[in-house]
Amino acid sequence: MIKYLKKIREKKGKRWFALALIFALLPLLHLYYPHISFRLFDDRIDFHLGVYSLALLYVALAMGLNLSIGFIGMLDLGFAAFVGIGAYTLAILTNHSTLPFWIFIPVAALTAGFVRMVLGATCLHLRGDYLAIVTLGFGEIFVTLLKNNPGGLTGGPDGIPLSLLRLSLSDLTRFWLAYFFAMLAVWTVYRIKFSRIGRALESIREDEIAAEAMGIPVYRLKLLAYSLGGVIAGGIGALLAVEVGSAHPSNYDFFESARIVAMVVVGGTGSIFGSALGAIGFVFLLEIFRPLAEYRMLIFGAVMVLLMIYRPKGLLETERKRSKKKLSKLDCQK
Amino acid sequence: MMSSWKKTGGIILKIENVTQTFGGVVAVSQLNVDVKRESITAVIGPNGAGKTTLFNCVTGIYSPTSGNIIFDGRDITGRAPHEIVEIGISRTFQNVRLFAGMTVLENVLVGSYCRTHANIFSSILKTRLHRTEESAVETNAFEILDMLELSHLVNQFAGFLPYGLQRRLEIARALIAEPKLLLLDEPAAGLNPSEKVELKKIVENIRSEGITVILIEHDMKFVMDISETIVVLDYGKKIAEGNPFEVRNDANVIDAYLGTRGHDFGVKL
Repeated sequence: MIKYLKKIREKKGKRWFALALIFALLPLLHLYYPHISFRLFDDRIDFHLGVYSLALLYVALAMGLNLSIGFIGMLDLGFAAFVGIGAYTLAILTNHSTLPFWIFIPVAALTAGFVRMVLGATCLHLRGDYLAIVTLGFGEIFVTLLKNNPGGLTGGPDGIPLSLLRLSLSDLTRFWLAYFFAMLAVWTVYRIKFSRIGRALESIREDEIAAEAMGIPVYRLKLLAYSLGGVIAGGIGALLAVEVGSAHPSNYDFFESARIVAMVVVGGTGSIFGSALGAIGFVFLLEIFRPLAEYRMLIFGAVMVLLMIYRPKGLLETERKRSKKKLSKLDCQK
Repeated sequence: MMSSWKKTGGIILKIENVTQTFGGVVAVSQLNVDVKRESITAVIGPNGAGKTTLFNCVTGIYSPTSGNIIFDGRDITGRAPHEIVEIGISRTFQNVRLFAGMTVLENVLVGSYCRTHANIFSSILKTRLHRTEESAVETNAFEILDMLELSHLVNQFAGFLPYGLQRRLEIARALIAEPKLLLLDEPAAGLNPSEKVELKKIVENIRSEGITVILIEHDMKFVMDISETIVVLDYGKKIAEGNPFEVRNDANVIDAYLGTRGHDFGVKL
């Protein structure tokens, strides 16, 4: 028995290592190559610090979405709306008050979390495709609402500029801000995954009825995971708005949601390391292929198709999905 | 313990006039069953007799159309399934419903959810409560897996286990919830004879730890061997109840299983 316990402990050590690696590598990368530029298709590509910050913020967003797609297995196609809620909360509050902006990051996070909780409370009993449709609809409504400028708050189709705020922070400050919050998100999701709540969430994904019959309060936990995803989306959305320099409706449309879903799915749903890698890869590649403008989506389409053919369970398939063979009789004997 | 003995007179589960209908179909009708504490009770009957429906009513998956279910002196009718597990009834399923993509250990640990209390914040911060609970629950899981001879497979994925072991793992998962009453839905289905012998030992072991067992089973030899009381259902009604000997010789039971003249769709025997 002790032998088996030891085995499990060792496994836990390995998980840690993978996570630590991502977070050690990124700052190192930027320290050695703070400003990469190279030529591709006769264009000069600047790989400045902002790209690293963006990558980190998307890592955090992938974590937030992973809570619903990866853990409880509910496809969410309106995730960007909650990023937008965070962004607009910050933008509106900073424009209407003189308090320092970082106070509004938790406010943005909680607002998005609250809205997501309300949405979740009404529609989380839906399954699979039906939930995807509801969230898709919510995302569309949100963007339309922003464009219509309710109460003169959202600035209509032009969005709210945050360039002054952006300029007041140096690139490096924004990088470390992104670094800190991304780490917070990864750490939170990681700790949840390997706790009783994480196991319960996974059991909901595997078999909802069995989970309920094993004493898991399915609805409550689904709501918890779902709203926590909203909290992460809101907080990171606020930072993303600062990083980009505006809160603009087109940043939170369906394509943004689809992009985050793609990051999670490409990396491997349910895997923390995988979806982080997916997010970083996505942001970097998008930046490298920037000269191709809209054509890069063609390349991404092709990459996605290839991935689905050769790695249908994601770049880093979680180990639970990898092993294909059934146990032989011998394995089952002591 | 003593007080609940007095209160309930040694009856752990009282099913009073339970009826469950689905549209026009009456799956269980006006059923009355008393289950003695620390006994092994079998529920048998032809297919479609309402056995699994009865289990689903007791575990809260269905809320009975009428009637009451009293467990340990408490009315649990219409409670949510996860509350009923916490009160002390856990179950296995007729067609194994393990969490296939999780390891054997994780499957068992899921069952302990209702006996642990670390909330999300203490899990994120890994507080002392979280750590002590996790290690206690892990040890507990190993003890149960040891008893069911599964502990060498802890890191395997449940979906890859052979069928017989999957059935055993389901029992392990139900046991870690510390039930007072365990419902086994066709535990011997699909097992080979030697596995059935093992299963019998396991069930007797469970009972000797003070857990009441109710099982649904079609294997008559297994049922007659193991159970003290047998309840026979047919078309949602109880047609007989008693010890194996009484039930075996009950005219109604023979009738339900084998049919009688004049009742056999016109075919002359």
